[in-house]
Amino acid sequence: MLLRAENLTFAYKNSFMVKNINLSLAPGKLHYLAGPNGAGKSTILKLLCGYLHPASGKVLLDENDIANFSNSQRAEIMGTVWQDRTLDLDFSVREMVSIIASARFPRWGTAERKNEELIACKLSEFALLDKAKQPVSTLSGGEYQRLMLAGMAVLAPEILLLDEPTAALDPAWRNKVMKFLEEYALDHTVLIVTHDLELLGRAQGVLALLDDRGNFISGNAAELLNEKVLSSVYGTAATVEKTAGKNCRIYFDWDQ
Amino acid sequence: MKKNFFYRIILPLSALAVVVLLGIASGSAKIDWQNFVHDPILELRLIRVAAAFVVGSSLALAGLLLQAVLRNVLAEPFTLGISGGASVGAALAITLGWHTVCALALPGMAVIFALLLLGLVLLLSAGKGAESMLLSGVIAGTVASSILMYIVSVSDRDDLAGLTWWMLGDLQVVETKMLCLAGGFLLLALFLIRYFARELNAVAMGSLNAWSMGVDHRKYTLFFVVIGSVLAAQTVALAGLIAFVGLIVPHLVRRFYGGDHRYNIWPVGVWGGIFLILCDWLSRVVCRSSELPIGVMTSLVGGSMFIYLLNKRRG
Repeated sequence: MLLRAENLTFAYKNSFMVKNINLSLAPGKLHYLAGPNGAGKSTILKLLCGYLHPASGKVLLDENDIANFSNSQRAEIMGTVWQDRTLDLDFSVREMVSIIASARFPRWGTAERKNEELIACKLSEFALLDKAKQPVSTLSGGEYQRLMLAGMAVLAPEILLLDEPTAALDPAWRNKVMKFLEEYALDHTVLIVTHDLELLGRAQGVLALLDDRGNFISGNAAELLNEKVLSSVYGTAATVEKTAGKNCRIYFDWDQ
Repeated sequence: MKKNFFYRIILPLSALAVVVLLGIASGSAKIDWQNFVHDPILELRLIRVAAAFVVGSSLALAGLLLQAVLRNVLAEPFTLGISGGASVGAALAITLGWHTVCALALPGMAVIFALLLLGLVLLLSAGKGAESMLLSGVIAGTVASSILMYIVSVSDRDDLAGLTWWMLGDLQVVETKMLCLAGGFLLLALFLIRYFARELNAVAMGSLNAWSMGVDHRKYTLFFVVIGSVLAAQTVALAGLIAFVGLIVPHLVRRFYGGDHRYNIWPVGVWGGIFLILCDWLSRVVCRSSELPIGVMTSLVGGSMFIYLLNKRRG
């Protein structure tokens, strides 16, 4: 499913704003959104999923305005994974997965119990099966991120938006999760927000960049991953080296 | 599946049957079983057991709702200041002598004041999230209890005894009409909460996650808080202030039945009722000459259980 943003503008009461957001995301490749702290990446994600209403412009899902979707229709099509982890009630790991994916299951009855196998399969894919009965609060940050991804894998939404899904993962798990997401992106629309330069270097789909002066650019990653653009977005000198294949290696000057 | 059926249906229902029999059979007066159809004591006991079930079940469900919405396992019906408001209303009804004029004046005032205070709390914390609501509730409850203390300090000696009993919780003089009304609302609430259990799960996961799950967080927060408050207020109207049931029962049930609200609504409702019937029975058995007030009993039982659980968890 195609996710498009047309001229999105949004301002908070304290005058912070994002403006002129134009974006067009299709299945095939993983898409990236990056930029310095406080530039408004999360705000854009919240606009794209309809949580915040834009002051002007609109978000379209296959040419239909997201505002016209009912909450439950939207929840089946679009999944989002946020960074905040403020759960005080103790759901177990298994319960949490089935709750995250509950838009898939009917309200009454125990259809969700019949999906036991699917849930177990996704839990084992993210190496959480042996922790299925543990309370979510006992998980580490990385395990929690894997849990949220397992939930999304069960829900299997057409569009998946993720806010720094690899921030707490160790390098091995980060690579596994990225493999999973790249594969998932082949026939689903996936956008991730990240600060990880190694990941950015792998970007081949759409890259959207936002700097802290409110400038937004988006385009093909191959064109935007260069020293001039990255230095201006992050406000510090960047070096971009092409490596084997289509990837590149990015780093920022330590002494600035 | 069989094991599931046992834990969800057989076990709670047999426990309920046992405590109902206990509740009916024991007490200071003897029931005339030869002529039980016309026995007034049996009738009184039945009403009392039914009242204990409705009150316990409502309190437990209200606790479950508020804990999910406020995302705090220590929240209970009384944390939002609902009890404070209800007690001010009831105390006013007693000191003004309205309860002698109309039997429904006391419960009516209790419910009205509970909802008034809830409205105030919601107004104070509008759009500011769960922590703000919890804090506003604590503050409103403290203010209400000061007002209550003032009312107590200026009331007559005659009113004082009734007021004190009521503040300690009392299942003895329950209005049958009021009981039927409360029972009806309890059933409705059970049905509604089960139907919207998915939304309750989503609300418990916070605003952003709820949105991702297709749930309007603000709308459903209000919905669940109002249901929880009416449940709590109706127990205050029926039986005065009974602490700890809303805290301990959801806590225990979550341990055994899990935290997913799609599967723990019914157990919370039933075990809440069982718990209060049991406490009521204990209060009559432990101290035969003069009954312990039920509120004191639940605090003793619930409080010690809670401390035990906390220690066990740490150790």
